[in-house]
Amino acid sequence: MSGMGTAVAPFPLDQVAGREGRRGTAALASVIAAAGGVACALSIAAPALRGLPLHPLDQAIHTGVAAAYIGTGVVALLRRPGNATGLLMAAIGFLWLVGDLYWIPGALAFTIAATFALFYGTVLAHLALAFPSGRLPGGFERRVMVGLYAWMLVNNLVRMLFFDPHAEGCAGCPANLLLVVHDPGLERWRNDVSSYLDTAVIVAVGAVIVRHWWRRTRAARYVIAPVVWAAGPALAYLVTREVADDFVTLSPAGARIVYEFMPAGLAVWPLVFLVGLLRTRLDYARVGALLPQLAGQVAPGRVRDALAATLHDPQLELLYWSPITDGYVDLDGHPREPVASPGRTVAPIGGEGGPLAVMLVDEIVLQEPALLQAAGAMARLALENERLQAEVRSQLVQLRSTTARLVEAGQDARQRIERDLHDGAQQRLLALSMTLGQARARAGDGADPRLRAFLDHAADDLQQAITELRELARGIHPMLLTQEGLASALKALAERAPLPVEISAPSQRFPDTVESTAYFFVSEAVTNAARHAAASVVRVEVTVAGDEMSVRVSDDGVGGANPATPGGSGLLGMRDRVVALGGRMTVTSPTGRGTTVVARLPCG
Amino acid sequence: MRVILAEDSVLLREGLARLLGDADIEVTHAVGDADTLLAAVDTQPPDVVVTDIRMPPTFTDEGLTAALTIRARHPTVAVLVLSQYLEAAYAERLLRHSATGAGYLLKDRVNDVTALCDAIARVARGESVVDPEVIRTLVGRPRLDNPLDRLTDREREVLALMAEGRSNHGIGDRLFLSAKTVEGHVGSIMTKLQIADSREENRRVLAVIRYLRS
Repeated sequence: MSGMGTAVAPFPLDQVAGREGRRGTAALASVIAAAGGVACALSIAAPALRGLPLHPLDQAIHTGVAAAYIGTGVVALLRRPGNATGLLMAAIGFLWLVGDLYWIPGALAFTIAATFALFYGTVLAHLALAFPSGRLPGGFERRVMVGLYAWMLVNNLVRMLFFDPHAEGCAGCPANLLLVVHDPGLERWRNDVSSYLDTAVIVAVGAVIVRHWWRRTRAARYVIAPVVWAAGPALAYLVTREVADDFVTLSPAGARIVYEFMPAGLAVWPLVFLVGLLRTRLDYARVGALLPQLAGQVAPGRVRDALAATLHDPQLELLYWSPITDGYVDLDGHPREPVASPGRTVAPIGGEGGPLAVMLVDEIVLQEPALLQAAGAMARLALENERLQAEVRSQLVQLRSTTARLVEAGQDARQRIERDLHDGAQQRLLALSMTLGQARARAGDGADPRLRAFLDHAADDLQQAITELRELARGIHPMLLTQEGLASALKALAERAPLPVEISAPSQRFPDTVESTAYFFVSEAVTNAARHAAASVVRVEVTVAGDEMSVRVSDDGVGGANPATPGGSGLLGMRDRVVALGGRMTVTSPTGRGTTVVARLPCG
Repeated sequence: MRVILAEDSVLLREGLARLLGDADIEVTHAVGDADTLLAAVDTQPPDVVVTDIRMPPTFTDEGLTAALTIRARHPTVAVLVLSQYLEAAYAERLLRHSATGAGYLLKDRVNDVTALCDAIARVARGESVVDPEVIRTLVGRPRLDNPLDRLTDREREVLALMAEGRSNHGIGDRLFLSAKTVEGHVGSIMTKLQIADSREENRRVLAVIRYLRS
C-alpha cells in the first residue's frame, strides 16, 4: 500500500448519506410530496370554487407541469439525498403554482402572486446549470445565477411599485399592496424597458447554458445532454410568452396556445429526468452484460475499454498496480503516478490481495456512485481473474521447468553413478579377481588344501561381489538403454525378469528422459507384478501416437492395487516420475482381475 | 598366437597383457581406445583382437563397433569382446554381423586363464563364443508354456552348449558323448523347438540365441 495512500482519494461514496441522513431525507420528501399534493388539489379546485372552471385540457397541462416537477423532485431527492437537484425541481413546481394565488381573495395573496409568478423560469435556469450535482459548477455560473435572481427580484419589485391592477383594466382584482404610484406614461416606459431587458436576459441565459454544455467533457455531456435539450422547450416557451406579453396582440386562440398549451413544454424536463434515471438503470445492466466478456483471458486494454464504455468517458485511464515496481504503471508498463487533475478524479480498484488498479476518470461519474462502484467491481473481478490466471500460468511454467530440470538432474546423477561404478569399483574388483585367479593357478594342485580352500572361498565371494555390483549398476542405469534405446532395454529387462514378460515396443529412439522414464516405469510395474500381484505373465505395450508415447503394462494377478493405500507407494513413485515429465498415469486394478497401469508421456 | 589387446583401464590392460603373456600368447599391442586399436590392426593384423566394449572417446559401445569393423575389414582376424555387461543383446548384435570368429565373454572370466585362453583359441579357429553365464540366463528365464520343457535334461545341456558356440565335437568332449550322439540330440532339439535356421555348426549359434531371446 505504500506510496498510494496520499495520491488516491477513497471511493467517493460520501455522496450517499448515512442511514440517519436517509431518514431525514425521507421525511423531507414526504412533506414535499404532501404539500405538492395539496397545492395541486387546490390548483384544480380553486377555479371551480370561484365559478370559473378552466377547460379540462388547460387545467391538466397547468397542474400537470407542477405535479411533474414536484413528483420528479421527490424521486430525485430520494435517489440522491444531499443533492439539491430534487429541491430545485420541487421549487419549480411550487413556483409554477404561485400564480394560482390569484384565485384566493385578498390583497396579500394577489400581491405575492403578482410578484413571484415568473420566478420558476429563473430556478429552471439554475437547475439547467447545476445539473447533475445540484451545485453550480463554477464561479461564472454562480455569478450569472446571483445576477439573475437579483434581476428578477429588482425587476418584479420595481414593476409592483408602479403596477395598479385597476388602472390596467382588472376591475375585480384585489389591491396591490406594494403600489406606490401609478402613472400611465411612466408605466408604459418601464414596461418597454423591462420587456427588452427580459428578452435579452432569457437569450443570455440560453447562451450561458450553451456555453455550459460546450465546456463540459464528453463524459459529462453524456450525463447532462437530456437536461440541456430539455431546456429548449422551456426557453422557447418563456421567449414566446415574453414576446406575446409585450410586443404583439394575440387572437384568443393564439393566446390560448401560448398561455395554456405551450407550458406543456416545461413538462419535458421532468420526463427527460426520468428517462435519465432509466438510462442509468440500463448502464447497470450493461455492467452485468460486460462480465461474461471479461471472463477468461482478456486482451490488455479490454478492461479499460469496457470501463470507458460503461462510464461514458473515452478519456478514462486505467493504471495497473505493479508489485515489481511497487507502483502504478500504464498499459505499456510505464510507471505513472495516479494524481487527480481538474475535472478528473482517481478511483481505486482494490482486490483482496491489495491494490489492483486505479481509474483516472471524469469526476462527473461521482454523481452516480453506485454505477462507479458496480463498474469498479466488474473491473476488479476481471483484473483479479486476469492476475490470478497470469499467476497460475507463471507458476505452472516455473513448476514445469523446475521438474524438468530435476528429472534431467536425476537422470544425469544416475548415469554418473553408473559410470563411476564401472570405471572404479567394478574395474578394481575385476583386477583383484584376475590377480586372485593367477594366485590360485600358481598355488596349483600341490598346494596346502586349506590354502586352496581359502583361495576358492575368496574367489567365490569376489565373484558374488562382482555380480551384485554389476546388477546394482544396471539397476541404476542400464547402459543398453543409452546405447540401443527403449525397445532393446525392455527386451533385456524381460530376459532377466522373474516371470514371463512379453514386450511390444517400437525400435525408434526418443529423448533420454522419456526413454528412461518409460523404462523405469515398466521396470517398477514388472517388479510389482512379480512381488505383490502373484501374476503369471506381464504384457508390456509401448505405442506412439503423434507427440505422445503410451506405455501400458498389464498383468493377470490379484489386482486391487491402489496408489492411495499405504502399500501403493510404488505406484505413487511411478506417478511422480510420469507427472514430472508432464505425463499422466492411470491405474486399473479390479480385485481378482489383474492390474493395468498406463503412462502417457509427451515425447515430441 | 598374436593378440592385440584394447582396454581403457590401465589396471586391467596391464594385468591382462601379463596374464596372456604368461600363457604364451604374444600381445603385440596393448591399447586404450578404439581408434588406436583399428590403426594397430590395420598396420599389423593379429590372429585375435581382445577388446573392451566401453572405451574413449564416448564411453559407450565403441569396442563392439570396432570389433565389427575389424571383422569386416580383416576377415582373418578374430575378435573376442570382453564385456562388463551381462546382456544377450550385445552378443546377438556381435554374432548377427559376424557369424564366425567372434566371441562375447564376460570380464568375470579374467580370473580363469584357461577359460580365457580357450575362448581366444576358439574364435581364432573361426568358432563363435558366447559366455556361459549369458546363455544360462537365457535358458533359465521363465516362459509362458515353456517350450524348453519339451526337451530332456541332456537336450537342454546340448542346447546351452550350442548357444555358447560349441561345435558338435566340442559338445561331445564336454559331455563325454560321441559326435554321432550329439548330432542326434541337436536334430531332436531343432525339431522340437522348430528352429528352422541352418543346422550348420557355426551358423546355428545365432539362430539358437535368437530363439532363446524371443
